[in-house]
Amino acid sequence: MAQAVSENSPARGRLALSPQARVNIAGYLFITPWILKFLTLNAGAMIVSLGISLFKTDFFTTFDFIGFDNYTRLFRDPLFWKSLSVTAYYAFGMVPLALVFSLVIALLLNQNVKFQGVYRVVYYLPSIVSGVAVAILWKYLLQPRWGLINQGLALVGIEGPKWLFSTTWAMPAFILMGVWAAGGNMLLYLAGLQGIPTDLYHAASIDGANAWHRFWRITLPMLTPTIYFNLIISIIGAWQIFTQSYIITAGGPDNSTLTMVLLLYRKGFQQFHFGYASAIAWVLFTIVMLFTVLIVRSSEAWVFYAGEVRG
Amino acid sequence: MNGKRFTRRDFLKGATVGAAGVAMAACIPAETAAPASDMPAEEGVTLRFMSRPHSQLAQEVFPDLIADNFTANTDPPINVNVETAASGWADKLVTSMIAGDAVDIFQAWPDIFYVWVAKDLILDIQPYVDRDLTQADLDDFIEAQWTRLRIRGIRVGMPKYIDVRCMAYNKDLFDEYGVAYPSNFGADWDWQEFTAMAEALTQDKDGDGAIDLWGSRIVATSSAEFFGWLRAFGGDYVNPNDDTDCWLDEPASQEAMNWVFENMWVKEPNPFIRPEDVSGTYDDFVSGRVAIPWFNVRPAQQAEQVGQEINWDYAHVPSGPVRRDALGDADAWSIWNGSSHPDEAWQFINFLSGPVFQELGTLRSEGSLPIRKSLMSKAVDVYREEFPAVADKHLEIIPEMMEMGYLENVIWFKDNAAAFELIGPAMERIFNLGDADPSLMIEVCAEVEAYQASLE
Repeated sequence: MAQAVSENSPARGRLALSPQARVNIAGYLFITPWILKFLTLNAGAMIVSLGISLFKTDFFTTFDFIGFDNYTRLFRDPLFWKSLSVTAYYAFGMVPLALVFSLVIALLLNQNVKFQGVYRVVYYLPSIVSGVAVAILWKYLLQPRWGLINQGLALVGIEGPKWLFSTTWAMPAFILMGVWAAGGNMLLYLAGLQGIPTDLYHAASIDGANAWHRFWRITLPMLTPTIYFNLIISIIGAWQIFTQSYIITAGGPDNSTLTMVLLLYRKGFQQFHFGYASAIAWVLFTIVMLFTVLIVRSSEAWVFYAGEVRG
Repeated sequence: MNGKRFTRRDFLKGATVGAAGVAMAACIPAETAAPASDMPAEEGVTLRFMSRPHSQLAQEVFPDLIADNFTANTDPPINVNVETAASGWADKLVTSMIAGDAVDIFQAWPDIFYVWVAKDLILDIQPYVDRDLTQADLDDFIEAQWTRLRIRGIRVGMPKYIDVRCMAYNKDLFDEYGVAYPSNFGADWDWQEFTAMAEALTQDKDGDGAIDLWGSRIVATSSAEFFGWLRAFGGDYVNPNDDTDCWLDEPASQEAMNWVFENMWVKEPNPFIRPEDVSGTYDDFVSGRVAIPWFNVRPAQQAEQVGQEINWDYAHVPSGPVRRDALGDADAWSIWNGSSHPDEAWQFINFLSGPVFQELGTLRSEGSLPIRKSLMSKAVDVYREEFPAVADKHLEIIPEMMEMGYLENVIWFKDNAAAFELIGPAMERIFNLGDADPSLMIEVCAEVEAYQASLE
């Protein structure tokens, strides 16, 4: 009987797919363009660069296999350690500040205020402006004597720092730039905020929860998937900081803004040590991967998905 | 259910095979579309020319200028595809050279040449020069620049234009503070007279206790901008006879650096503006914050940026205790060593450095300074005609500089990028931060020399 049903089924002759399989296929189809791009443009280059990192090569006159010498040399190079500490300073300084700042802005913009759309555009704008234009703009803003920031501080009686002309303040200036461009995070938070069911707030209000309780017990937990995404993307982006230090300070003063990617660029394209530059790239990749894995692993403890059932 | 499940493994297999197929298909050369540059000579060739025009006008007119004055005179025709260089062009060019798909002709300058010659990326055009150029041709080039384009034993290219440095001075400020102008447009002044003028012009104009007018600005952290001052004092960056020997620790170089350092960081008030107070060369000049800035001689640019907003003029750089010296950098058009058409590329760059293109392209379209002596006096007339905003300036400074013969090029270390990885931060500490004095260079030079000497 079962055979007869099967033969008369309209699905006969077509691949029998479960509803879950259909959903899976749809998901895979959505990510197919990215997978194709990754396989054709990225994966090959990454594998080649891993191989190159085992060679002493300028691509033109030398191609000597040296095993892991580039890596051991890297760990003896004071400039590498300098660039590592500079980049870590930026990542650990900028990412938390940008996450908090963009969340605060998103919460404010989520209120029912006039010209809400205008404010959203204004805050989002910095994240779509070209990195070079942003760098040049900030170079003027941060000029110690004539720049708008120190002029503004002077109005309230504060003598501003020398920013890009100070080994102490150059990296905080970069962090300020990074936080300013957190509009992308803000937009995702806004989307997340608008996805939180209002019933939850109504129920909490009836139970006597005040604004702080509602934020702490409803908004923040419900936003954790967005925070999780923003955190990963921001960490990855922060470790790859390049444009600001390349355009504005060239790594100075006194290497205080020498980031890992800038060092990589110098070693590769200015000094033609492409094997060494590739080794830096792989160390950077490993660091970023470690942080990403750490965040992904820890997410079970702090990321809450609505509808998720935990055992 | 008996139907085969479509798993993630199946998907990835399929995607990989598909991607590999696409990639392989892309690698198969098209049978009908052979590159124009591989066509038989009888049908002509097409050269790829990476152009770095200095003006919008030049970008627009170069293709027609080349077609009308070069391609039209070649048989079989040598066509030229003009590709305007994008930002980051040098990195992209290196990448395309690695890939074996670079342009035939590009424009660069000595510090790039110095590295690229070592990597065997540039064609030596000396055999073509010996074959095709007459002594009269050679005599028409500015000698110092022509000489400088022989780098690491090869001739790296044909000169494009000269990038020269001078001083400019704000006459209004000189008048206001009763300071005499540099006599003979600076042809007679020396470093002491210049320093005295800078001191006299350094002022707290609004009386708020902070200096807001500085006498001059010396760019000290760029080797190309600063080496002239070192030579004026008898020093240099690098020993001219040994490119592993750092000369910033030599007494004469130290004297030059101390002169700048003291005027920037020690004297109160400081007659040379500190980098942290700089807003921009033209901005500081036009707004009356710097009275005697250090300038490129680019009349087209200065007509636009300074023009008649203030009463100003050009002046020669002051001589130092030993001599007068300033940058006269020769950019050049070079041929990629991997070019399939070196002979045609030579014909083309010879045309670019020739009198026709030097006048129509370099001088009239770009507003740049031509490399040929025969065009120098004409250059002054053309600038006056094309850029009325600088017509009343002492543009004769251009031929005067050539006659006085103080324009030179910087000499580089064997591995200059590596040397500057050490020198740059130290220079920043001395001149940008002011937290170390020039004696810091003595230990830095020792490090630089140790590394340079270790190179093969």
